[in-house]
Order: sequence, then structure tokens, then C-alpha cells
Amino acid sequence: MLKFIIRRLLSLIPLMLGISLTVFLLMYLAPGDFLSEARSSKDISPEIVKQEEMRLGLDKPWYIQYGRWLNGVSPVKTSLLLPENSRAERPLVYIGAPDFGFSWSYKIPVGELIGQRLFPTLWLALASAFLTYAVAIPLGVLAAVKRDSLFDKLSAFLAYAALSVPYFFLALLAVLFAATTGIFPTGGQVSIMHDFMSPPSKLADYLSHLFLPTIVLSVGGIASIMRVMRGNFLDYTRAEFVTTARAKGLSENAIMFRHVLRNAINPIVTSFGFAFAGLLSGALLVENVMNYPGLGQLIYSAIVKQDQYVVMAGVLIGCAMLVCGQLLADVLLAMTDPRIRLDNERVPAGKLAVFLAAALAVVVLLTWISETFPQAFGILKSAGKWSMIGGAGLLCVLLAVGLCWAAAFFRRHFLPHILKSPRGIAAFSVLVLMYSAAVFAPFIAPYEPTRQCLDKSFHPPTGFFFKDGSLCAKVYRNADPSIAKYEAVEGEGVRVKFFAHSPDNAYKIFGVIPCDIKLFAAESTQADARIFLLGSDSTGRDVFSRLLYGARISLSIGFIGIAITMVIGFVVGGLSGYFGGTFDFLAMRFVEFLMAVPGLYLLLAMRSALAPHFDSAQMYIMIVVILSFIGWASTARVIRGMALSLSKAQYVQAAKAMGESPLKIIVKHFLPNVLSYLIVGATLSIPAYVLGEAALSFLGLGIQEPSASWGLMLAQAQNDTKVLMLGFWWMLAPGGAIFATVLTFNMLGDILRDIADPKKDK
Amino acid sequence: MDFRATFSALATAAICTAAFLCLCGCSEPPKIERGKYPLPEGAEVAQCGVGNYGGIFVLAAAQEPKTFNPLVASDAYSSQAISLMLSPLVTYDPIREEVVPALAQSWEISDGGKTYIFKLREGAKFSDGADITADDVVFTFETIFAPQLDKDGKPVIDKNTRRPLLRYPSRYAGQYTIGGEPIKFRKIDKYRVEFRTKKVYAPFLNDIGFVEILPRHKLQKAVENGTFTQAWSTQTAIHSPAEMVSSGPFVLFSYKPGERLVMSPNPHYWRADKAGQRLPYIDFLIYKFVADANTSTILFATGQCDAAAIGANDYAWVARYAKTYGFKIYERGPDASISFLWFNQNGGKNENGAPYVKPYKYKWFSSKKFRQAVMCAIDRDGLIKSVWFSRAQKLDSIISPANRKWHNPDTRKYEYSPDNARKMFIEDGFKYDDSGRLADPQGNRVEFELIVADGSQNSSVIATTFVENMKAVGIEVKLKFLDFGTIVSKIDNTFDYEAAMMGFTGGGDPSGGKAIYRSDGFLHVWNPRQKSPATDWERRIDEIMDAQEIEMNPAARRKLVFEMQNILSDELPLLFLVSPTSYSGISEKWRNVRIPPLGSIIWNIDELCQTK
Repeated sequence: MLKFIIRRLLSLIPLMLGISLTVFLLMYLAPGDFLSEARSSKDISPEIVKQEEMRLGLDKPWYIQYGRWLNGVSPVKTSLLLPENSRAERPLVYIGAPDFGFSWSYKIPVGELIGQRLFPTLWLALASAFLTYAVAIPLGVLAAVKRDSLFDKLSAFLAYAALSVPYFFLALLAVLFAATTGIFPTGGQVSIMHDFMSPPSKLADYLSHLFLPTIVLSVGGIASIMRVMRGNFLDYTRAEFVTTARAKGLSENAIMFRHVLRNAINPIVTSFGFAFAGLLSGALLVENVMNYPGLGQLIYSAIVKQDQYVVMAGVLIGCAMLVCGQLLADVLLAMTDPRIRLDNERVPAGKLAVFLAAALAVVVLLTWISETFPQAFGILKSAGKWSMIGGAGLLCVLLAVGLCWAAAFFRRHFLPHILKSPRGIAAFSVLVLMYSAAVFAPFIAPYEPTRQCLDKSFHPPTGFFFKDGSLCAKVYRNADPSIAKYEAVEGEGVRVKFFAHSPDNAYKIFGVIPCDIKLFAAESTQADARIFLLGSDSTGRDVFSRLLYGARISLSIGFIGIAITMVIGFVVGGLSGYFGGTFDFLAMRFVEFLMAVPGLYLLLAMRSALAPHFDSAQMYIMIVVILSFIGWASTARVIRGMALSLSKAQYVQAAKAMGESPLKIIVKHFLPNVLSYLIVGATLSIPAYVLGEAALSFLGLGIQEPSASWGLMLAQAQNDTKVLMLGFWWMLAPGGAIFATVLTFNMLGDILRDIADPKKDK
Repeated sequence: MDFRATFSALATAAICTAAFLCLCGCSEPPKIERGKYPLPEGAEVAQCGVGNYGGIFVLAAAQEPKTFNPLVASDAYSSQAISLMLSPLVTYDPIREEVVPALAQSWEISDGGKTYIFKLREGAKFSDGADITADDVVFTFETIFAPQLDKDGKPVIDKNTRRPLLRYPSRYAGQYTIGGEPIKFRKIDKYRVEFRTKKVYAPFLNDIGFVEILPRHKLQKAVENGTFTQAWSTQTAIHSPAEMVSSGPFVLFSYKPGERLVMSPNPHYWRADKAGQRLPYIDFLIYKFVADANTSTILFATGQCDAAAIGANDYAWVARYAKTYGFKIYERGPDASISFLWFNQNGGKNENGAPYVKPYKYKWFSSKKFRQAVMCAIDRDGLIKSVWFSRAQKLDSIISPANRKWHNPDTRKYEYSPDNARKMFIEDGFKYDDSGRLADPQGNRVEFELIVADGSQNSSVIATTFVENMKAVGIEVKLKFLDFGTIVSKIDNTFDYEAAMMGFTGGGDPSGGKAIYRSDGFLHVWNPRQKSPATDWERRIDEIMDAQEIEMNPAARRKLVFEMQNILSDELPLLFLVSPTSYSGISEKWRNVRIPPLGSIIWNIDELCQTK
């Protein structure tokens, strides 16, 4: 065991090297630097900026900067990398405490800064983990024991709902709740009077500030762990030892809680480690929205301000937390399940050396390139851009084929089953409805998404009434422009005309067929007569129309992203399962590397490094690419496992013996076998993409105005406090749309899983 | 039975614990000892109403101080915290709108405005009891001008400028170099210091008198051993707040990054009230750090902090809570900052020989008529109505109307009229095609890209409205949101953009805006750092800026500044947007509140006291 732990911890070193280099390069490639703000302020002269630049070492090439940082962090240092004036004071090689550098914006050592922020985040993570397990396990067991009761159904529904609410949306609501009721503090780790409190009330103060963030952070975890717990528990109630116990005449209580529970809880204990590992990413959004002074908030603002060394240290800590969490999971599993022996895992030392040498070679090559060709980075940047665009095109073709195939498979194997259950019909038809609404957005949406009406900002949803046998929309007047309070004008209304011609709003169906018919329109001579089904936003744009156009982005991003993920995951996983050996080793190390990177941080860093080269449409593609770049790793791992076992199957062996090419084997024999898994997995992970896009756009890093996406629309509700405070509730409609989408996908995924794997009862 | 007993025992225990926690929560802050030290001879008597000691004043800040070292500080948040702890020689009274004494009790101006002699307050002390003397003043200015020394102890000379390199570069050194020569200063006696400038410098008091005086006995060592820029960093504040002695109203009590900063009264402060009580009245001043300005507004609106600046955006809802939480909101008139968009008028070429702006576009951008026509097509009235609920004004000059002393109200105005705009485009040689799209005489469609900093709700709303407005007059505008750093490097370095939108903080003396107005300024954003003025009107502005700096007659100086504003509003290198009304709120539990026309409403925080 000890050996295993030590080996795992040692494997952190190359991982950290790789991650720190990646992040460093991303920060280096990102335009602007820490001094950008100083450069543009009125009272700081360019000379000072130049001196600061020298002091911070920003004038040195990147490999010197990185080398210095590495030298500081490593316990064994060399004086060669120190600045010239202090080189002589030290021997060539010496040992010193790790030094994470200096925070440029806080002007204190990064170690100290992280130390201050680490504990709030750790408390939050622990409290949330504790809450999650304390609530989820009993609930899951109860739901399993009282299977099919009202409680079970209700809890299943609530769990779906909880899984489908975006973290940041929940956090937004929590802040609103705290602000309006005043029961809980609106942020911070302690209250203002904290310094003057006695120890017990200090503790109470901490707890009251932890309360809301913990709940927000735990909701999703509780729901998923509860579902897993219920499933495990049910699996074991059908195990043979239960039958034996029953036959021996043991009481039902003893069977359930002494035998079944103990077995069922095993995988949950394991998931503790993983949950812990993922908390930091979740905490980033929650800490930012709820103003909790933890590591997440610190790192996010450091990324924004390009406070380089803080970002590096923060990402490393995130990665260490992730690896330690996984380690914890493995160790816990070994402790609870005596069948598992950790020491069997062997890493071939030779391969590891090859791997390290390859990584080192890349670093040396990069250094050499930037040394000999100073323009290389510019070329690299544009090459990266074009290769990304080209790659995207190639992938598109691949995807179209893959999607068609998957769709055919889906129709044959899944659709009939789905249409047998009422739940399935409901979920499927909701999705069909949503996607067709997105496709036909120009027809259904009464206005263009960018069309403004500055006289009617924050107009409430229009009401309707019947007059002379035809539907009329109420007319409103702005009764109090100082708070945008609208009142319906009694008795006045404009007729609603269905399938109306509207030459001003001509559009093209599928981008080809010209058309000017709208589903409905106000029949009025006035230019600014509007029907706002879901109200209007700050410049009088129709929220309903924007929601429909936004759906095009928010809904398609999941589909495209998941298709990319599945294709890459399948190809890499299949190949490495089939070939094994060095390819397998390298591919899996790379997969582990991707899985060990704290996703959201990498996302932020990548987006800020690449964004300036993209316009809004390219940005859409980029978000998909970034999201799937991070996402394919886990699929590849699972597929590899499946491929490994498949390659031992007799018919595969036979095909090999008959000399079929590997590619043919993979496509003809592996694919049909794993396709159900791929489809189920895809459906279940689409929500992650919808939420990912929403989170990015919400942080202002995704889709940009004037385009519409659900996350972007929600951001308006957060950034403009008056939206919530003056009760413009319709601005939260995109939150509802995200919720509904994620909910139906989760539901459909569950149904598909039942179909694909009928043995499992969920 | 058993169960019931256990339950009631548990319940009792829970109630007891809760009660105990509540009791503990009511513990009092430590008492502040008052009147321990006698007032100095030279103490200033504040003319405010006499009040009682006590009370905690809470403020929310969206950013933290980055340093407590006045010569290192470059941001508003650090400067604000420092100004509460270190006093300058003179300060500005925003009510009387004039310079008033601070550490210097009085001053004399002689030699036609080239010599200033400051007399310090006798007996004034730092918070640790050390005297504040001329040595401290001299030490402060010596530190500002301290040269960088090489190994042999000789000053290092910069090869380009031929001036000695500074050991501790700060913004002051450049500012205090007047007519190419650093100001001269010397100690006359314990309480008197003399300053001399080479040329007459009109804003001398505003500029040189406002630097905070450093305590020599605390900082001399750091200056000598080269660690001055790290001295009084946030680390000092965290670990040894007492190390940072104060000459202002407050001393640092504690600082927790990410949480709050607590200040308590300076027992040696140099101001007292008419009853001979030493100011300030407040027991504790607490800055609570929050994530963003929105949160601080929410905190104020829900009674959790005592004063806040409130944006025009938020006024509508904050005002609803005024009764519930007992605060009052004051309307402060237009904001001092200015916002604008502009076209890149840099006619140069990059190192590959390609022009920064496509030549035919450069032709549009450098046409005055084109800029004016675009200006007429921006629906600023509509924006004001929809976004600010009519709590904003159109901005017509580069100096905001908030800056009453310098704002020129009679600059050229541009009313919203798409028809006029179309007419002006046609007059300038542009043409409309059948579908209403605008093209230049050569037939190029008029379209450009506008770069906007991401992250600000208001600027994104303005930008999207601008796009719609331009569409209405046949121009296609593409928006590109970039992070601030990228925008700065584009307008300052690579010049590869067509149009951009930005804002500057405003207020203060026009000399502070030199970098914007002058053609060689680095913030002359539409075409910065020109070797010689590209146009006649830019040449004229350069002349005006030179002339106003040595003009001692206020009326004549004003006339010059007015002319500059006229030129800028007519030529429109910057298309001015909107200046929102600003509001400030303060809790009604404080007395002696006096609202100045401009600036912070708690400028006299040392005089604020609780109402009984």
C-alpha cells in the first residue's frame, strides 16, 4: 500500500511539470500582461512601466521566465537561473524551500496568498462533501428500501431537478435570497464584527457564512450520489448472498443493513475521493458568484489580471487536489474491499523514461524554436488557428457520417423502446419540440434577436384577451419610466395575426429558401407595436426571440461537442485497446494528464490565450473544441477497457487470423459492440456541454453580444443588479430553458441506459 | 418513555447551546482610549459640529489595497487607504473648492510663483509619538528623486534620456520635473521647508503639496538598503500593522486579505473639534472587501454598510430600501468620468509595410464630416431612456460637466437624427444603394469593426445599440469583445483596429489630462505619440496645453481650456457618449455629513459622528 501511495505521489512530478508548462505557455501566448492596465492609465508614465517590466522579468524570453519559476519551486535549485546580480551569492547547486514566486497584484509571496485562501476553500469542500454524504446515503437507502413508493418517485424527480440546475444559477438565486431576506450573510467568510467576537460565536459566524455556499455546492452531488446509492443497493438486494441469508432466516433488517448496505456503500466510499477532486472546479463559480473568499475566486481574478504566478500555483494545487482525491479513492477502495490489491499495478520503468524523455524533448524543441526563430510563435499561433479550422472541417465530415450512422442505430434499437414508456415519449417529444423550435427560430420568433426598441426596455410579458372573436395582445404604457413600470391600457389591444407576412423581417429557411411568413405578428400600423411573449431586455429586445435564437447555440453545442468527443474517444480508445503496448501507454498517460488538469481553469486559460484571434462565430466553434478537448479523455478510457476485453473475443481473434486490417476490425467488430454505450454516454454527457457553454458565456468568456446564447442572457441578469431587484423575472427565462433541456437529456439518458443494459435496474 | 427523556434532554442541550452562542455574539469591540495625549500647539480646529465619540463605520470595497506605500501605489483603492493614514502637506477642501492646510499649517509663495515655503504644525506627531518635522518632508522628496547607484556608488545614467535612473521609480518623479529640472527642496529649520521650481508651475500646490509625507524614522533603513518598494507592503499590514505609523486620522488596526481592513483612530491626529476633543469621532473604520461593485451596492442597500457610491443604473432599486434601512441618497450630478468611441486615425505602417488602417477606410476616418455624421446617428437619448431610466446626460465635451471649474458648456452639440446623418454622408461624397446601404465614392461598402472591452454590462449595451444605430444609416458594424489587455496593446502598440470604445476617469486639473490632449501623449488614443502634430487643430491644442501650464491668471487659463474643448467637440476625434448621473448614499445614523459637488462624500470622515 505504502509503495503504491509513494509511486502515485511520485507520478505527480511529471504531471505537474507538464501542466505548469502548458499553463505557462498559455499565459505567455495570451495577449497583454499584468502591466496592461498600468500602460493605459493616465498617471503612470511609460518609463515606470518599462522599469516594472524589467523588475518582473517580463522582458526576458519565456523559457527563462519559466526556468526561473521552476527553479524557485523545486527544492533543488541552481544559481545559473538567478538574475545576474544575485548569482554570485549562491553555490551552483543548492537546496532551498520551494518558492512559488511573488503575486504581482497583491505584492506578497504566492505561497502566503494561497495559504490564506486555501483554508476557506478546503472548509467549503469538506463541509460540502460531508453534507453530500450525510444526506445522500440515507436518502438513497430509503429510496431503495421503499422502492416504487411515492417517496421513491418524488426523490427521483427531485434528484433529476437538482442535477439539472446550473451551479451558477443556483448561486445567483442564493445571493438574491440572502440579500432580500437578510437571514444569511451575502458573502465573505466571516462577518464584519468577527474580530471582536468570542471563540464560540466566531465558530457560529464561520458556520453561518459557510451555510449557503455549502448547500449550493452540494445539491448536485447529493442528487447523483443518492441515485447511485439507490442503484447499488437494489443490485445487491438481488445478490445470491441475500437469498442465502433469507433462506437462513435472518431478519429483513439484518439483511438490509448488515449485509446489503455494507456492500452497496463500497463504490460510494470510492467516489468520495473523486467528488473531493472535482470540488475545486465547482467552487470556482460558486465562490465567484457568492463572493466567498477562497482559492477559486483568487485564481479566477488572477487569470483575469494575468497575475501569472498565482495562476500557476493555483492550477498546480487544483491538480494536486485532483490526483490526491483519486489516490484517496483508490486507497479507500482497497481498504473497504479486500479483493483489491493495489500493489499489482506496475508502471514499466523503461516506458516511463521514454515518456519523460519525449516531454523533455518537446520542451527543448520549443526553446530552440523560440531562440532561433523569434517570429515562430506568431507563425505557431496562426498555424494553430488554421489547423484548428481545417481540423474542424475534417472532423465535421467525419461527424456527419458518424451522426447518421448513430441516428440509424438509434432509430432501430432505441426508438421503439423509448416510445413504449410514457416517460420516454414525454422526454423525446420535448427534445424534438425544442430542436425544431431552434431550427425554425426565424419563423417562430416574431423579431430578429438584435432588433431593439429603446422605448420599451424591460417590458413585461404581453397579456392577451379575446375581442370580437379574435385574439388581441394588450397594449402597455410606461407608467413610471424611472423604474420601468408598465401598465396595461384598459380596453386597448392589437390583433394578433397568425402566419402573417412581414416583409421587414424576411429570412431564409435553412439559409436557402427565402420566406417572410411569421408564426404570429401584431397587426398594427405603428412601427413599435410589439408582442413580447417573454418580455424585453434592457434595450427592448424580445426575450422570446432571443431565447429561440440562443437555443440554436446552446442546443447544438452539446450535439457537436459530444460527437467530437465520442469520435476521438472511440478512435483513441479503440486503437489503444487493440494495439496495447507503447501506443496504449502513451495514449493513456495523455488521457490521465487531461483528466488531471482542473478542467475549468484550463478552459479559462485556453480561452484567454486564443480568443483575440477569433470572431463571434469562430468563438462558437472554439468553445465546442475546448469543451470536447477536455471531455474525450474519459470516453477513451472506457472504450479502451471495452476494446481490451473485446480483442480477446473469439470472433475478433478469428478476424485477426484471417488478416483483416486493424481499422476494419475496429469499425466492424468493435463499433457495433460499443455503440450502445456511446449513445447512452453521449446522451448523458450532453448536459455537461449545455452547462459548460452557459457557464463560459455567463462568465463573459463565451458567446458575445449581439448574438444570443442562454448563458449570455443569464449573465445580463447577474451583471445588472436592477434586473432582479426591480423584479424583471422574465430575464431568468434562459435559466428555465437550461434547466428544462438538461432535465430532459438526463431523463432520456436514463431511459436509454435501461434499454441498453436491461439487467441494471435504476 | 426512555426515548422521550432522551429527546427532551437533547432539545434542552440544543436550546442552551443556541442561547450561549447568541450571548457570545453580542460581545463588544475593544474600547478605544481617548484623550491620552495632549493636543499639539499647531493643532487645527475643525469647524464642524461637536459630537460624541463612538461608532463603527463600515464601507464595502470591490478591490483591495495593493500596497500601503504611497510611492508604490498606483491604484485608487491603495491611495484611498493610504490617504486615511498619511497626511500630505496640503489638501483639497471639496466644499470650499480650494487648497487647505494639512501637515503644513501655512505657506508662502514668493519669487513670482517659483518659490514655496511650507511651515509645518508645531508639536504634531506620528501615531507612535515621533515628531513630524521638516526632515520627514525632505526625506520624502529625497526618496522620490533617489538615483540608482552602481557598484562604485555613482548614479547610473540612462543612455537615452541622459538623466540619472531612479532607484525607486514612481509617477511623482516625472511629474515633479518641471521645465526639465527636478524641483529643488531644502530644510530651513525644524518646521520649515522651501521648494523652488525652474519655471512657474501653476498647479504646484495641487501637485506637489498632495504627496503623502513619509515617516523618516520608520522608512529610512528600507530606503538605504534598497528594500523600499517592499516596505509597507500588504505583508507589513497583515503581520505588523503597528509598524505603519500614521499622521492621518486613522491607524491600521488589522488587515485580512480577501476579508476586511480595520482602522482605529490615530491618538496623535492633528485635528480637534471646537470643544477640544481630538478627531476622529469614529471608533472603528472597517473596509469590507467584496467581489464586485454590485455586491457592495447590495450591501449598502440592505443596511450592511454605511456609505456607498450608487450608479445611475442601481438608483431605482436602492432607493426603495432607504426607509427600511435608514439611509439617504444624494444626487451628485453627472459623473466625472468620460466615455467615448473613436476611429483609428493612425496613418502609419507596421514593420511589414502594411498600413495600420486600410487606406480607403483611413480616408473615411480622417474626414471630420464622416465622424460628425456618425455622431448624429447615435441614439444617445434612447440609450439614456432605456438603460439608465433617464438618469444620465449626453456628454458633449472631453471634460465632464461634473468638473464645473473647467467644463465648457457651449461646445458644439450633436442631436440624434438619422436623416441628418444620411444627408451629411451624402455631402461628404458617400452614396446609398437601392437597399439603403452606404458606400464611399469609390464604391467600397462602409463597414468597420468596433473593439470593446468585455466584462462591462453598460459598454456592451452601448455597443449593441451603436451597431443597430449604424445599421439604420446603412453602415455595418461588427463587434469584437476583447479583454482589456488586448485592447490596450492594440491602441498603444500594434494599432491594428478600426474603431474602439473606452472610458477615462475624469476630474481634477486639466494638466492631468495632458497625455490625452497632446498629440505626443500616449493616451492621445486616436493617433498617439505623434512626432509632430498630424493636423492643424492638434497643433493648436498642443500650444494651448503648453500655454495654460504657465498661465497664473485663472480666468485666462480657463479660456484656454475652453478653446481646447471647442476644438475637440468640433473635430470629434472622440465621439462622446453618455455621462450617467451619480448618486451617493450614507446611513442616517451619521452627523456632520457635508456633500461636496464632486468626489467622495466621506471626504470629512474624521468629522463624522453618530447621532444620539
